[in-house]
Amino acid sequence: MGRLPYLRMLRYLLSGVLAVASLSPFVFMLLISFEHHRVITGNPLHWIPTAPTLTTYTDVLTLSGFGDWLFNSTFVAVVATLAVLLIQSMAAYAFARKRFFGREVLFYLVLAGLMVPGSMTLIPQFLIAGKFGLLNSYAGLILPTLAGPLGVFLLRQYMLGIPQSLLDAARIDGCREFGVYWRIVLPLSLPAMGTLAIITFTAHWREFLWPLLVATDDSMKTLPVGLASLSSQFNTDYGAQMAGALLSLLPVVVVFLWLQRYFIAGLTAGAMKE
Amino acid sequence: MTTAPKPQRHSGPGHSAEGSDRSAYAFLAPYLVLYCVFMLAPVLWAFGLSLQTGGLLEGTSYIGLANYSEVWSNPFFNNALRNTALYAIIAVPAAMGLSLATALLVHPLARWWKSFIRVSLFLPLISSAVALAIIWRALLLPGQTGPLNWILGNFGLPPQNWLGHPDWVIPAIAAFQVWSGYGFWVIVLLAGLDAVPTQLYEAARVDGAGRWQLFTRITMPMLRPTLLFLSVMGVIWNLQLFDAVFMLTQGGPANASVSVVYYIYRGAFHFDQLGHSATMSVLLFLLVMGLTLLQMRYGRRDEDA
Amino acid sequence: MLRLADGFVFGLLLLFGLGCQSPANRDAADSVLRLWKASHGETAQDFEHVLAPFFSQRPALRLEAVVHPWQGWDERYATAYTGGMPPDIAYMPDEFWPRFAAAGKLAALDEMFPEEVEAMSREYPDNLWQLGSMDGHQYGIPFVYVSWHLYYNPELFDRAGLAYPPATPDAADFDAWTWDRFREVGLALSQDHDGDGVLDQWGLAWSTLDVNPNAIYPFLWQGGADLLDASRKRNGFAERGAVGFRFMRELARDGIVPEGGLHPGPFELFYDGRAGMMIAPESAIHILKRDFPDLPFGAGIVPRGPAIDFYEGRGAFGNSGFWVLSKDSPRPREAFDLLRFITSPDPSAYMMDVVQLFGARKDWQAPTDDPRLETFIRGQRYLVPYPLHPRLRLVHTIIQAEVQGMLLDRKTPEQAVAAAASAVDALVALR
Repeated sequence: MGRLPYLRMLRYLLSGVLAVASLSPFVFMLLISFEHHRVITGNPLHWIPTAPTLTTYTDVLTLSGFGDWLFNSTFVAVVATLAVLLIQSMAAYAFARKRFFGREVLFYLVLAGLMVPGSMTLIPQFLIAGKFGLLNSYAGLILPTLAGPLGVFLLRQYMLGIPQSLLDAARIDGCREFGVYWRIVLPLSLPAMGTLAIITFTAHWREFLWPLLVATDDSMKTLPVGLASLSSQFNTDYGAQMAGALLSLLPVVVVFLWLQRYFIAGLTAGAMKE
Repeated sequence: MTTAPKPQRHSGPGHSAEGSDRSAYAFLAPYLVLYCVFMLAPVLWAFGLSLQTGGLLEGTSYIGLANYSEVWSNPFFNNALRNTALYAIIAVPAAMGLSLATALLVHPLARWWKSFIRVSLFLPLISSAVALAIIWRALLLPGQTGPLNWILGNFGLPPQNWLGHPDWVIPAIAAFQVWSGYGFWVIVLLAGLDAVPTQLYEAARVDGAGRWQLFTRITMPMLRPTLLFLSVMGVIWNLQLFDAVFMLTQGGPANASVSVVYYIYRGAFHFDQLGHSATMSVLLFLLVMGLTLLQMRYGRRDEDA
Repeated sequence: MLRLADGFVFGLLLLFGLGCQSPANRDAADSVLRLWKASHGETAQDFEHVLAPFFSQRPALRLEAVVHPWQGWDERYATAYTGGMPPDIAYMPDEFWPRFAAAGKLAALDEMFPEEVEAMSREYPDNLWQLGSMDGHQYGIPFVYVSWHLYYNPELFDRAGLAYPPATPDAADFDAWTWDRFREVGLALSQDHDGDGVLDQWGLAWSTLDVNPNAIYPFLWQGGADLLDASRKRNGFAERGAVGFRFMRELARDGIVPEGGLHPGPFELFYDGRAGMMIAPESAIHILKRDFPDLPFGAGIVPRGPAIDFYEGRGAFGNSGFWVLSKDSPRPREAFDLLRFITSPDPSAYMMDVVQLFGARKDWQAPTDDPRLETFIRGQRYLVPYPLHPRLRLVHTIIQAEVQGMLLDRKTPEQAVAAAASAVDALVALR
């Protein structure tokens, strides 16, 4: 590769172009967001703000329930991730390292859930949530999303690699079952748990359809749903829409840049584990 | 932790020597309860709904398998199927080609550059589809002065009515899908390329293999399971396209951009056709299941080879 | 590394999250009157303010007002009326409420409160009052009406040397304001300024991609057709709808409308001064004044179609919005009193002032500051009711799809009309 330096330069150039192309819509969003642009087409083009202000941002923050939406998204994503980590690791441990009647059958049943498309369960889940009084509540936003089997599958595959001898040794030392799980299995599974945490967190943060149905009260909406209603409210005002979009992207981008190593490692590991 | 333990002596409650572990049920219970209530019951309910007709407000009534025989002659369903198939057919190969090219381009470069590439491609993945669609809706405005058209105009390409003309709306949304998803492919492929042992390349080069042969005889075969996995995931993801249609076109000009999931959703909430929607979702389930099983079968065969 | 204490923290967080239900659910058992309205620009605080006198006289009751965006209306109300707790009173436009009435979710006000409803019926114009009744029962009390008329850009008209459109049907030049004349004016306004062969100014900022069916229906009505026939069991446009379809196609083919009638957001072109006319509701006046103060505009009447009588041919098209009472309301008497209060003269006038829309009451005083409003105010008299049907909004989708197909040259206007007619027949026959 070092023999042809210009080839290497070409690689940098081409991949740079791709990266720029991928980023350019975000740059566009940034440019448009600093003015209450009503019209962004027209001759001459109105992309570069002639009188940039921050009123678009302040308007979005004050005229909508943005604070509520941000809190709801964060709360739901964090609590759901913690819940998934706890509940699904317990189930995965049972599948991986415990023998009990019906283990194989149950596992394949759970696995089959991986193939169920969201649109199939959407309406019934919604009707069930309604019957339990979960609509417009955090429980309704969180509980149904804990049933996806991906985590159980990932963690179980990983836990299969934990030597039985370690678990036996702990039991002989007097550890109760929950202690074995809590003290031995969980710490050893941290890489997979990290992967699952990131996948779950990201998925919840982006989720649109389920919160759209469940959270109709403005105060219960998550960020994507709130943003959608914002864009219909500020229909002709692209500046405000872009400001709203940017504000909603900012938290997860910051977190991502900070933790990007783990993000990428997590998603790679998740994919390769198939 | 301790010295080698004595075999076959498990202390602790609920543990018999034969190995059936009653504590397992305690560990399983929380998840299984949630699974039964929010996964199993809805699936069964959806099957049940597909045997009924009616709506959310008006209630439903049993009509047997009539939905299944009618759905194939329903022109709107066929339209949605066709659109969705087109989305997948355009988006998946484009994403595959683009991501493979990008991964190969970037693989031998410096680590900091790879990091930058990964971040810039990854941004669409972690952003909510709603935010991205808001941006693209503005980008795709028609006329010579629409942002994308203006850029294309500088390259001499004619302006198009991307979201308003049925000929262009499907490629436009497919392009959106590719842009928002292919970062995942690149990252996975990069990891896949990393996993190819360099000794293989060195040994082949010693044998006099040229660049192209290195690629076709070593890289591609090693990547094949990954590519297969990615393409199946990509097809399944595109089969369930909803957010983009909802935000960008609401079904588009003359239903030209309606996807299957959007049709299911609209049918249930706007058209009061719960049974209809449930039927289509069952069919979608069968399709996804078929594809997944196919992938598992062929994927495993590749690994054994 | 992890200790039992962490487990408790986890558990607590979980419990907190799962147990934390939003206040809306908790109040189900309290003495609350719940009011829902899709936003025209007002907020819940406006309702609290204007309804304060009502609640101060009833200390045992409390108001819970929810003002929400229009987006997701169907999902929100369908889920509320099926799964959970519907509001006691809700605001529903004329095309929205029949579906709920047919499903038995709305109270028939004339049955429950016959004398009061009889008295109220005299306070509203007949055409608007009728839009709140179906199958002989009154389900809704009118609140606002919205009428659509023609906006024009006088500067562009001056530059093209054209006379302005007439402001009302009583104007002298109204007789000459036919579809043919409209087309001529549109052609004169559709221009290519920079000589590159592509139009950059259009006569009419119009598109069928707009969700609101009032973009399409004028051309049906002005041609003498209707959505449904008098029996409400068949379509009403199979015979006379082709005239309107053909006219829409001409508008597209002549380049009078942008992108062949398939522009995703045409009003922008008018706001940017690149279109001579647009057909829009009166709320556009406030958008123009607030967001585009430098743009000159006038308000005029839409052109006369071939239907001979302007009144027969629906001089103005628009909607009326109603307050409805849920059948499942635990406090129907109090809820109906609230409904009467919000539709009484002073509170409704206050809310009209907040949202800058027109009140349905006969005694509502229109603002007199802008002469252009006159067109819209007079429009109430020509508002002929939509044919109410539970599936009317699905009729929109059918007709809209067929019109778009025609504009794409996939069907001739006659074929599009026939296809739409048979689809509407099948749809309406389901009930």
